[in-house]
Amino acid sequence: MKTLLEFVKAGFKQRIIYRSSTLWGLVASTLTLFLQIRLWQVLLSSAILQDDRTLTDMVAFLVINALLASLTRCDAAGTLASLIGDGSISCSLTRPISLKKQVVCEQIGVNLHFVLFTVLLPAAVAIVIYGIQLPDVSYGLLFAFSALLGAVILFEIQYILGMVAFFLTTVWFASFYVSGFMKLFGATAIPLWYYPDWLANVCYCLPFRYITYEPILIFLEDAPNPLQTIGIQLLWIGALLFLEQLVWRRAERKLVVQGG
Amino acid sequence: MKKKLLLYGTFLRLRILMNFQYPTSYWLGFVGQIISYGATFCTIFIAVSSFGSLNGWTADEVLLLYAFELISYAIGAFFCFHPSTGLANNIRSGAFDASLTKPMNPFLFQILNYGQDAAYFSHFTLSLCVMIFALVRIGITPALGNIVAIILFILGASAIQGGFLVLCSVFSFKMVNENPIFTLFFESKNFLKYPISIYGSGLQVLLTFVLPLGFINFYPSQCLLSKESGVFHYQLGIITPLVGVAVFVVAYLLWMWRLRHYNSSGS
Repeated sequence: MKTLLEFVKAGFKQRIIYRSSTLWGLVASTLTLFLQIRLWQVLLSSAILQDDRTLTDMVAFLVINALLASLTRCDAAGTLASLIGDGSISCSLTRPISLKKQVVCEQIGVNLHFVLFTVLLPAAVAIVIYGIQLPDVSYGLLFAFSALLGAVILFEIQYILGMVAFFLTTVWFASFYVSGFMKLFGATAIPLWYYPDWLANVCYCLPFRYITYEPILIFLEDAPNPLQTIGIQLLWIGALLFLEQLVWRRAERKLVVQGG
Repeated sequence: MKKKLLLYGTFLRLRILMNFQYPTSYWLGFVGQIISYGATFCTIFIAVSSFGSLNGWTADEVLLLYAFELISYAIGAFFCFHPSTGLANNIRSGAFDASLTKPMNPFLFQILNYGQDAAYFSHFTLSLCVMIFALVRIGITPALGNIVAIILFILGASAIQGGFLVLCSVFSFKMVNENPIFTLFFESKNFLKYPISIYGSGLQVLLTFVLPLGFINFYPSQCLLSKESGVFHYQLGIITPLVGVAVFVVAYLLWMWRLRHYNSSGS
């Protein structure tokens, strides 16, 4: 456990040295959040759609979405590709903890830094300004657990995509697939309740909506059955772990260290 | 002139060959970028069409707006993305110092040697298809005047996109570890996904005269659609090519000025 914490600390410290990046990151995330709020303010003021959702609901969606997106940020694919590309994976594989745990712990450190110094302040300001209600304790706990499972799902998808680097040497494109699928099927850009029925049905069959969208519904106390959501998340994690094992077995045989 | 063109052709050929060094990766990347930006187009369309319109702009018009942004980014970034974002790294590693010994303009060398990234063909292809789709649905006729205007708008907007990338890279001469100005620039471009008329008049003035990002897509689209929206007259878009030249020239002069005060990192 102590070793794992050291990796989390290393990830955190990696970012703490870039102070001006942190400051400009704070400016950028504040700008993005309030820009999105302005957009929904204009859209919701349109009289054409009789929507019973209020601006407060939408702001809650945007704020929790921003917080979850930062907490679940993951560039396992990029990290793996860079380890394979420069040969340092040979060093990582000799360490006393698994490669996967190293990547997870470092990413947790980087994400904690990002949330604390970049996203938390604008999110807190928006929560106060728009009077967003926090859920009661039981929903709060279910939300926290569901958000954690969402992070695991995203990490698994990224990690599996990252392992493609064992076969193709480079996976610079992996983030495009993840961001595209997350935007369209994970409803990170606009809530699923605005989707046409056929597309919303497609999203039900894929894991992406269980990363941030379903946890947000639990936070808003809008999920019809939170326990069912958590059950489906666990099923997806099981399926992805199985797939990861399959790919890993093939990848191990393919590893080529390119000098480094 | 002939020699220069030959040199340019050689650099271009080498860069494209480099992109196709791993053809499977290139094509997987091509599809990935189409999926990622295609998802953005889809979500914009779903959001605006769910509400009928956005501040008087229909879903097709907002698609046209974003297509202008992406196509101009594709062209601007094709030349300027890697020379700009990679500058800090090149200074740190000493590769930039080596490039200063080449017998040609150092700025041009950066563009030729590090720019011309074929990865942007995907952005270009997608945005061109969406632009044609939106124009047909809006009912803009393919008359010669309209085609010439669209080409000039795209070229002007591309120069603005490229110019801003170069401007951001000027800070890399100082911040050689990590240049956060790029993050700010890319986040600021989120303003351009939707008509800037939805923001307050102060912000519109800022995006018109201080950071003329509005000329990347809002004013050209407004001019093409003859649409009154926002603080300024819709014909302001006519000066887009001039704004493009001005932004790029200012960026180039600042880059060259910063180069004159450059101290090597010692690598």
